[in-house]
Amino acid sequence: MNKNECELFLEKLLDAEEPDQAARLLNDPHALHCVDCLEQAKQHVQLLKKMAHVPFVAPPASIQQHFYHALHQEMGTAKPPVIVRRISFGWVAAACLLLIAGATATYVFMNRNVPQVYTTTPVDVDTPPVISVSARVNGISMAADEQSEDPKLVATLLNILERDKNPHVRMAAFYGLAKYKAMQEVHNRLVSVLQVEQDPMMQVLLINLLTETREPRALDAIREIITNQKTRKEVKTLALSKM
Amino acid sequence: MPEKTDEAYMLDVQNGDLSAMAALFERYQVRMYNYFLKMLPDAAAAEDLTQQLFIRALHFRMKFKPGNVKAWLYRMATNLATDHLRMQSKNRGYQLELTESHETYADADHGFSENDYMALDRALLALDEEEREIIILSKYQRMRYEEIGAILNLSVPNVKVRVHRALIRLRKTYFKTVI
Repeated sequence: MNKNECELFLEKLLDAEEPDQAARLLNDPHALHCVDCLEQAKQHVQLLKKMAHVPFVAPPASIQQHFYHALHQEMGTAKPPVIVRRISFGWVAAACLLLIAGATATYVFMNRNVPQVYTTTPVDVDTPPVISVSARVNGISMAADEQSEDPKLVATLLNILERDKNPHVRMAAFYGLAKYKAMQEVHNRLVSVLQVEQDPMMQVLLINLLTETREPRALDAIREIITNQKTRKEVKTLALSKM
Repeated sequence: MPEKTDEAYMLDVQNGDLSAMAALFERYQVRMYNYFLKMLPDAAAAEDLTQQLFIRALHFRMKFKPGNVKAWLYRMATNLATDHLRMQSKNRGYQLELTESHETYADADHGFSENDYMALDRALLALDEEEREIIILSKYQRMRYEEIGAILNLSVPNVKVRVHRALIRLRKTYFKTVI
């Protein structure tokens, strides 16, 4: 085989940006006569196909939390708590989920034959333990990283979103719920939350999500936010741009 | 309604509407995290650098000159990755390898197993930093040569030559390990 022909063929092969384009070269007249070039072409096609089908991995919820925490600070809102860095383990499933209902705190474990992250602590209803904001955020992050669609998890996250007093904890719950945004129940509750939410960053997140999903029932809540004199300027600007 | 451009959001940010930075974050966080995952490939480090990237973008928002926001973000990302790898290489005995927490996947529809992808990730790691970076931008992040040129400050022909060389090396390394 003419070395120049092989070089030209290789050049064509490397120029093919998509696997289909490269695959067509398997029938190139040169490839049909040059065993070496045909073999290279087959390998190249296989390689391009593999790379084309690599899925994007979902980033951990903590990245969003950390960013919005920083954004919160820049926007000059209340001093945030320290966000505890999540330790990553080499196992899948099992999360510690904290249910916060009024003054009572309960630890709920979703055991799936994997090591527990936290130990059980008996809770005295009359004198509930103080659970730090960072611990609540951490617990929600770990639960939210679960891949399965557990209705209990969704219900708990919605409860936290509606009832926790701390906006960072509510934010963590919001991000945990993001992957369930297609569920009607989640949608309905998010609209209800928007109607009463006062924290600016939470308002931004809710407006973004509900307008992205084009939820018509959110429009009244967004109009209310725009006309409310207490609403921050940045939130009003965003709300107007979304209308 | 047409989607707002990155540049329009950045202008809003620089005019004081910080919520517009949230829009850029939502648009790019997945891509950036995956860029770091492939470059490093430590998941904890990828998480760290992704956070750092967007915090930097927020803090240095006024230093951004009107231009290509995507290229600006990716330039910061490549610098962060380079600095991280340089720091790691100073640790004696440090070797770039897949960690326990490395994400595995398979593509049954096309007949690719988890092992196939692990071998591909190892072959990618065996490339030098510049080769790995250009493969990731071109084949994993699926950028055009012009976009890559804007990030790496290279001409399109130069990008093309580098992609070609990196692909040849990747193919040889990968098929040496699977045969």
